[in-house]
Amino acid sequence: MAAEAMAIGRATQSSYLPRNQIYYLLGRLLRSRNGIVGGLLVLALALVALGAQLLSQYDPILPDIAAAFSAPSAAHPFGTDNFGRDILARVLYGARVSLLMGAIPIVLAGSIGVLLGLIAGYFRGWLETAIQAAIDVLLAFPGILLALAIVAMLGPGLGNLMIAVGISWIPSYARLARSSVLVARELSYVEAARAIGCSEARVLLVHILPNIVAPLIVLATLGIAQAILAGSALSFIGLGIKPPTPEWGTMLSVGRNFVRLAWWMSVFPGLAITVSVLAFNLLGDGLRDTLDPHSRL
Amino acid sequence: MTKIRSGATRSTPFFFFLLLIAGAAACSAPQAASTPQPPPAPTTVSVAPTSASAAPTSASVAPTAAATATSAQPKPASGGTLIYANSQKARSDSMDPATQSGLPAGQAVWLLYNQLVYFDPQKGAMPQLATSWEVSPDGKSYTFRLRTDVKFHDGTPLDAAAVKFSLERTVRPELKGQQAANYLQAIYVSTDVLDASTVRVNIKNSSTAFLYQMSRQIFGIVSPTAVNQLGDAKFALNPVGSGPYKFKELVSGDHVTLVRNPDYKWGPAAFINSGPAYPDQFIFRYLPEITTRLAALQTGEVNFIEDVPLQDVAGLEKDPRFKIYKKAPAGLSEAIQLNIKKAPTSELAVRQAIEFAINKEQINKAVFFGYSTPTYSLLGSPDMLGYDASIGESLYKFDQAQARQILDKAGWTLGTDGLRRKGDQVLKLQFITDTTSQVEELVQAQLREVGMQVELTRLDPAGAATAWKKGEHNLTLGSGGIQGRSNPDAEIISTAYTCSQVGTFNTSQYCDEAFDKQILAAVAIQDNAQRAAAYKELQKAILSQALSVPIVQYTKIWASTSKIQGVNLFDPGGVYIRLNGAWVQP
Repeated sequence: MAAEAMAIGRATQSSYLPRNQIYYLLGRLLRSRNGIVGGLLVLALALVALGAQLLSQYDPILPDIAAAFSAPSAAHPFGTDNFGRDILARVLYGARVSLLMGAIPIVLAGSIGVLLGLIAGYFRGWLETAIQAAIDVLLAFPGILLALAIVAMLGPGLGNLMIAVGISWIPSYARLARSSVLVARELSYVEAARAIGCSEARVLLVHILPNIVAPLIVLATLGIAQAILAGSALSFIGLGIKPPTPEWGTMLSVGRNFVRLAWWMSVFPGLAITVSVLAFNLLGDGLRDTLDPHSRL
Repeated sequence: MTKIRSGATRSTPFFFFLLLIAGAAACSAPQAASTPQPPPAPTTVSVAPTSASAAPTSASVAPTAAATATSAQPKPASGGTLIYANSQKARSDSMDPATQSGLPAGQAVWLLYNQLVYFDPQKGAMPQLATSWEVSPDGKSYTFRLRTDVKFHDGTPLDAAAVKFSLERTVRPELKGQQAANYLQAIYVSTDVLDASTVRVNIKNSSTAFLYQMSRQIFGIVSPTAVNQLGDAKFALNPVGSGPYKFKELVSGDHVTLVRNPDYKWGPAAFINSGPAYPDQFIFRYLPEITTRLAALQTGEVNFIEDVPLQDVAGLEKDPRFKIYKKAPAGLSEAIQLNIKKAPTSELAVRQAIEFAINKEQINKAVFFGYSTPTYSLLGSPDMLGYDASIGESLYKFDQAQARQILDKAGWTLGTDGLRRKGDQVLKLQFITDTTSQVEELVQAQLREVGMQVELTRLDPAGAATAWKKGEHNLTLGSGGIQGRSNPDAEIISTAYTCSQVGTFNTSQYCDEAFDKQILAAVAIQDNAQRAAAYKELQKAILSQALSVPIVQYTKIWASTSKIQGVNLFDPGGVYIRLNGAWVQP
C-alpha cells in the first residue's frame, strides 16, 4: 500500500515534466517569435556581462580627461563621458550590475513570497488571515515607492538596493502562489497524497509546488525587467550604486546634466536599459504562451 | 556660510526612461575663466566715523561682471516679478535669522530684514540701521546709534529694545550649532539699552570680525511684537522684519513669495537703490535640476537662475537675450577636509599623501570647465587678508611619486591589485558628501592611482550632517560647509578649525586648545600687517597637519534674462547675489 502510494506520488511528480514534454515546451517556445527574440537578447546580455573585458579595450573607471566629451567615433563607438571614459565600456560593464539587479531581487522576492503564499494557501485559517493582511498592507504601496522607502532607511548601496527591490516584490509572488495553491490543494492528486499519509511539507513542496510553478516562472521573468528598471530608477536618483561602478541608471543621471553638450552620455545607457527590459519582457511573453495552462488547451 | 554645489546638483525623481533625446544642440567649448573679482582692498574692518552723516555718498557700486553693458542706463521702473531659481534646498524652511540655514532660505532672509551695519568688502562696515557707532578703547563694547524712522512690517518701530531683543534670542542655549549662535554665544556678554535709539553691545574679547558678523543676514533684526505673538516656531515661517520685502507665502520645497514693502526708505545709501524695491513681487523657486533650471530661464518661466550649467555658460554669454554674472566669493576654498579622528586619515602620512596625490588642475578642467581657479590656498580669494598660496604649494605641490613614496615609507605596501595594505588592512577611505558634484568621483580616481580605495557615499544634507557629526567620514568635500563670505578677513579660519566647531563645521575634527587661543589672538590683532602674518602662521599650522586639501577657488555663476537690470554683485553675503537694486524691464 505504502509502496503504491509512493509510486503514485512519484508518478505525479515526474509526469509533470517528462523529457518529451520539455522538448514539447521548448518547441512551443521556439514557435513564439517573442520568446526567440527575447531569449536571444537575454543570452546576448549575459554574454556581454560575462565578457565585458574582452569586448572593450578601455577601462570603465579610469578617467582620461584629455578625451572628455568625445563624440561617437571609430575609437569610441558610443563616445566618452565628462571624464573621458569610454561609454561603450561602461555600458558593457554596467550590464553586470544591471543583470544582478534584475535577478537577485527576484530570487529573493520569489523564494520568500512563494513560501508565504504556499503556507497561506495550504494551511488557511488564522495563518492565512495574518499573511494576507501583511501582504495587503505591502500591496497598498506602489512597488517603487516601497523600495524607495526601504532603501532610504537602509542607506544607498548595491546590496541594500537589491534587498529593497526584492522586498517590494514579495507581495506579488505571495499572492500568485496562494491563489494557485487554493486551486491545487482541492485537486485529487493532492487529496491522494494526503490520504496515503504524506507529510504536509512533502505535499506542499513535492506535489503542489511543481504544479504551480509555471505562472511563477512567467511572473519572475517579467519581474526581472521591472527590477532592472526599478534598480536603475533608484540609482538615477542617487540611492543605488556607489561610484565609480558603472551602472546604467547612474550614467543616465550624470549624462542628463550634459545632454545639450553630449547627448551620447545619456542616450546609450538609456538604450541599454530599454533593450534589456524589452528582452526580459519578450522572453516573459514567450514563456507565458508556452507555460500558461489555459493557452495550452 | 553656505554649501557650494559645483557642476551638478541633487537629483529628484524623474521618469528617466522618458529619455530626452534633445536636439543635440552642442554648445561651443568652454573658454578660460575671467576673474570677475572686484579689485583688492583688504583694508581694515574699520570703525566708521561717529558723525551721523557718515553715510558715504559716492559709493560707486558698479556691477563688475554684467555681460552686456548697456550704453545708456535706462531708468529703473517699478513693477513686475523677479523669479529667482535656487539650485539648493535649505536644510530647514526657517526664515528666522537666528535659525535660518543658509541658501536658499537665507536669500529671502536678506530681503526680509535689515542689519545694524552693511559690510562693503572694500570699505568695511557702513551704516545701515545704525547711523554711527563707537568702539570702546578695549574693543569690548560697541555703542550703536540707530535710525529713528524704521518700522517693521507689522508697524512696530525698530528701536534699541528691538535690537537687544534680537541679539538676546540669538544666544539662547538651545540654538547652539545655529550659525548666528555659533558666533555670538562665544563672545556675547550683554546688551544695554541707553535710550530709544542708542544701544550698547558688550562682548568678551575684542574681535575684528564683530562688525562684519553684525552685517550678516543671520543678525537681521526681528520684530519683537511678532515673535512674542507667534512664538519662535511660527515666527520662523511667518517672518516679520524691516527689509525691502514682506513675507507673503512659503510652499516648502517649492517656493517662497515676497512682496514689496512700499514704506521702505532706510536702505544703505551705498546701494543702487536705498528706497522701496522695484519689482512688486520676489519669488524664490527651488529648481534643483540643472538643465530644468536653464530651460526655465530660456522659456521665461523664471528670470534669474543660479549655478548655470557650466557647459552652457559660453553660449549664454554670446546670446543677447541673457546676462551672465560671475563671482569668486571670499571665504574658504573648495576643499577636501580630512578627518584626523578616524583611521586611516588619523595617520599624518596618509593625509600628506592625499595632499600630494590630488591634481587640482585636472579637477578644475574636468569638473569646473576651467571657470574656477585651482589653488593651494585655504583662503578662497587672493583679496583676503593673509592670503598666501605659496604655503600650500611649497608643502604639497602635486606629485604622485611623492605620495607613493610617503605611503611606502609609512608601511602601506602596494598589492598586486593596485591597492595598498598594512598587514591585511586595505588603505580604504570613506568619502561622505551631500552633493552630487563630480569632484568626488575624480578625487576617487586620483587617489586610486596611488593605491587608495575610496568609498564614496552621497547622502541627503541631513543624513550627511549626522554622519559628519558622528565622524564616520575620512574625507568630505565643501570647506566643511563654509564658504561664501565676503569678509576679506581670514577670521573665517576660526569657523572650521576650532574645538567648539567639532561636529558642525569642523569636519576635520581637529581640536587643540592652544591652536584655538592662537586663532582668537590673531583675530584680535588690530594692525593689518601683523594680523596678516598671524593668519599665515595659522594656515601653515593647518596645512602642515594636512587637515584640508584646497582644490579650487570656486567661481559661482548666475544668469538672468537681459530684462533684469540693476544687479549688484557687491554683496556682504558672497554667494548671495544682492538684488536690492534689481528691476524688471517691462
